Amino acid sequence: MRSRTKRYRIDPPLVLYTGMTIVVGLGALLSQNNLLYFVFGIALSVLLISGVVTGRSFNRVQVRRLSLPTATVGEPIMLRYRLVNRGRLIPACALWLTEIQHGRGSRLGEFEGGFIPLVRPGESQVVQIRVTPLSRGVHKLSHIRVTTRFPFGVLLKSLDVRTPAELLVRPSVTTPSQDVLRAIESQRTHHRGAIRTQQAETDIVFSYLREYMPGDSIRQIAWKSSARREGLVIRQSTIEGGSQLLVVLLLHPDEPESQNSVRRTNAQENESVLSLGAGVLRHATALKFRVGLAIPGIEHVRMPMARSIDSNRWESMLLDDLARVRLEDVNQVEQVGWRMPTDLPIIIVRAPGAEGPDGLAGVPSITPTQTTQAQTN
Amino acid sequence: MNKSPHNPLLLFLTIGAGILVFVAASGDSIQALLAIPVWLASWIVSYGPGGVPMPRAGIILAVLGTTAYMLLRVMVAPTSELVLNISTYLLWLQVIKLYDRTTPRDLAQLLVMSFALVVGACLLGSSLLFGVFLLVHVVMGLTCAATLQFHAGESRRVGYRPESERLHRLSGMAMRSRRIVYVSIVGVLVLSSGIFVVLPRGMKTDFYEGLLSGDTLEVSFDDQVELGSAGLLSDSQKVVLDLTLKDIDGVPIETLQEPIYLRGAVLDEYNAGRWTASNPPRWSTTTRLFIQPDSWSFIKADRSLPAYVQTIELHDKQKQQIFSMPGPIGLDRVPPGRVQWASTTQLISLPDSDGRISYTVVSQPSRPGVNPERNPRLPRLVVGTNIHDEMLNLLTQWQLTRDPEEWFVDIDIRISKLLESHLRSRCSYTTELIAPEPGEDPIEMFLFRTREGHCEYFASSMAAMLRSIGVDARVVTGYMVRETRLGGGTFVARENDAHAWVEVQHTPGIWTTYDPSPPSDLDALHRSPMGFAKLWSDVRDSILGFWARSVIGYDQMRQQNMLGGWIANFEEYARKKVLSSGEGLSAVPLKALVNGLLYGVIAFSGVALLGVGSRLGLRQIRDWLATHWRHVRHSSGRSTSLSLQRVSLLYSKAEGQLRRAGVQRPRWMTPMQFAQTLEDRDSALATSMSLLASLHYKAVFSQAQLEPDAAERAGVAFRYVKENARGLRSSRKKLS
Repeated sequence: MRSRTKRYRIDPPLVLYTGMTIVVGLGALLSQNNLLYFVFGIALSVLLISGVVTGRSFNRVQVRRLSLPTATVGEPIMLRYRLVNRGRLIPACALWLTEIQHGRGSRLGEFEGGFIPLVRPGESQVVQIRVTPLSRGVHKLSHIRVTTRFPFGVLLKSLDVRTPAELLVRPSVTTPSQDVLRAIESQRTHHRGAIRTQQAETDIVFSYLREYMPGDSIRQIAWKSSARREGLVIRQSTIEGGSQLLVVLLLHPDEPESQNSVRRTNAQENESVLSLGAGVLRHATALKFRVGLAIPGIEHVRMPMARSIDSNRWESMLLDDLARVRLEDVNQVEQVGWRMPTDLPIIIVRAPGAEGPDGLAGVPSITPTQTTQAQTN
Repeated sequence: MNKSPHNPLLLFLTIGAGILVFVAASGDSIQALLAIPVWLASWIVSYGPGGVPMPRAGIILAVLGTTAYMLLRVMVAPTSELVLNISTYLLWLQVIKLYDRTTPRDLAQLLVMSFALVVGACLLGSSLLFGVFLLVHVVMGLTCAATLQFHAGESRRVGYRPESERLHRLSGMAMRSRRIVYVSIVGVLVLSSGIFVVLPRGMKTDFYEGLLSGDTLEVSFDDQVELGSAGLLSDSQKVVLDLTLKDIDGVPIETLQEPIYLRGAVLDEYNAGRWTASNPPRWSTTTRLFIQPDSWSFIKADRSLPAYVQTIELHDKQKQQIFSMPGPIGLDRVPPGRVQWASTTQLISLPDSDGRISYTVVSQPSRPGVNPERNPRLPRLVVGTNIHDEMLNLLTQWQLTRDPEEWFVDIDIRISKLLESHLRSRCSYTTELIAPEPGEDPIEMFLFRTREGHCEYFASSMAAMLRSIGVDARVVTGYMVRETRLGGGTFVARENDAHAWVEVQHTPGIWTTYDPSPPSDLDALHRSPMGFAKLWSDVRDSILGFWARSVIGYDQMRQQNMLGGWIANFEEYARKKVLSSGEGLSAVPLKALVNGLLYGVIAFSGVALLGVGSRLGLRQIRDWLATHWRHVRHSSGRSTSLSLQRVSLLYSKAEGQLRRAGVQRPRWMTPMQFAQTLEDRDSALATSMSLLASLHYKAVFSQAQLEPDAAERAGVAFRYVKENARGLRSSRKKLS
């Protein structure tokens, strides 16, 4: 695939203009009215000169993306680009810069700005485009598109520069209610049977064993204990003052055979769950919890980390996990065969009517529609 | 209020120019009186700075009202005014829209409406004033379209900036980009002129004849004479025809010793003050004849007699017959259609063409007509006994006698000349109309009572007096051409040059022209302006003539003349190729092929030369600019020797060679660092580039004196880079 593609685009203004030109030309031919011939000549020349000028001005234009920040639904971000005109004679005028997404996925949102009035020969400019993401997910950007209608606004020419990239859009963060926050706070308990050790002068580390779960690091496996128990176990550690919390998101499974309206409703509820989950994660982190994330429908687990890493970075990782969730991959929990760890404080964010794995009795559960209070099953 | 940061004056003036175009084309002064104040008021009310758009409901109401009025007008008015009504509707729509919002979309809509109005106006008028306004509108409109690109983009830029800052920024952008805008507009005008010239003409005519209501010339020439009326009298200075004259050898005749009489009608029957043609001319349809020296013609030319080749452009042909000098013998380059020729009157008719036409006629005034022996004699004319008696008195006075029953006697020439002089001296020329008394013949009134009259009276009197004694005489009407256009070479006839004179048949088939009107009086009446007035008149006529001939009247014939028949030959070739595909190339005239090939080669060579020349020229200019700019930037006004510039330029060229070969210096890298990076590709290449870079440094930064052989060493290094770059390029190709 070519990295640079230039082409003239047929759009409604051009079709209208061409139609008018043809009508004037036919009128001139049929009536032999020389003034109509003149107007027809002007119309045709405008088209030709536009093609030449825009074509020449695009010949040596180069563009590249400078930054691609992580985005959150509903929060505007600025994308920065550098645009260089390596031509020596003709300036590039009235340029519009935008991004082209790959595939037929959800649209990222409207790109605002991106207008460059003038790039003189040899000049370089930094351009900012503001975009407010409308949907969560991994948006694949395939091309940077530079367009112009200069000089007369008739002919639209575009330059597509292939620069594939992925823009991660996290779900919007729903602020949990006070009840939910209290429910989170109530989970601050030490694990029963934890062994208290002194790792450093300031940190007191509690260690305990639990069953291996998909997603656990191999390095955490306690091989001797696993040999004794005939099954893999994990040595889980936590730090005093940083209680653990596993946020479990229960989503509707995607069922292609069901009606579109049902699927649409389920998708909306799932998005709400992800948003609320993001809010719970953020606030739990703010409350000094070592937070983990589990989404049984897609077999995703990121257990709370024992090692002291930057909580903000950890939170970002979890939010990125939420951004990468593909709703069409969500399956029934029973089919997945996922088992809920019983030895961790858990809070469940559940889509209305979504079923969870066994062993969740007594675990606090909240739904997006009931964020004002935490329910205890 | 959603106002875009634009300078609205240009678009406002463009709309105004569009309105003026419409008014100049349609001549609708009422619409002008109404629309122009409303247009001007919009600047204060809503469109200009500080204006407030009218409420949307008001705009919608105004548009609905205008639409209803126009629908009513279209239903009531005849179909011929359809274009006028649609254009008027567009005019008012855009005037109303000036009171609406001024978002970029609205501004673009205004511009489109203005262009549509101009297109409609093209069907309504063709005056020079219209053309001037049209050109102004096109230039302003295109400039507007270009600046609107910036306005539309600027209004959607990210980040807020105060209005004043945005305007300042915009004006800066417009200043910096105006060169490319102007170049584009000039390109459009040049290209459109080319398209105008080469587009095919003559495919179909008068399609919109019923719809067109253009301004046409009122030709004062009439093919009958009614004494006592205004007749041919006209004070209009409008140009009726242009004439270029050559002799039989093709030598242009640029000055006139005597006026040229262009005949339009021949009248030989008189009855109660009215001259008409005795019998309708017996037109004989002939094929189009191409002028060739030995066979011109309707009749064969006599090489011993003087002949005149007249190329006449008739601005608005309304009668069947066309104008020519006496004794037409051949015709060429006429519009498509029938060509008719009457041997008795020696008039030519083109019944199938109207409007602006041009043609070429060859005349031999002293050449006898076809079959002169069959030329019928005109009957003796008896207007009144007084006229006959007066003629007899004159003959007695001149001591001449003539038998009325004799034909073609030598004395007739003398009688005619004496009578011409007699009328000139005895009667005076006036354009005042004097009505005859009841029962009084206008000729008798002129000869015996008033002795004043215009050319028709003089011609009628002479013809009547000659006919009364048996001399064949007839009245001829047409134009008397005396005026030369600015610069010479072309003669012009205006409406007030319409004239009547007399033709006398002294020998069978040869009609001699006599003009009894006093030349001094005619000159006084038709005196050309002098001094600045003459200059102004000539300049105006030249501009009008150019506009009329080269723009409004540009037709197939002019196109063929301009393009040297290339298009015609191509059409001929294509037609024959299509129609007789079985015959192949043999059906194509050799001339057409040769001409087509020749012009094709010329055109291709021209385009190729233009392309190569422009590329070379641009490269030279670019190099010079690069050197000069660097010199100015770094030398701070100090003089730099040629060798310094050359060395610096060589480095730039070497970089260019490498860039074309795919090795480009990053912008952040210094020339010396770049040269060192080439070490792993080719050490010799790196060394050459290092040398060039070091000399480049010296030339640019230190301005130090170079060693005597520096330029030579730089040249060697550059050649090496150039050759090596070729190798890099070829190796890249192999790899790919």
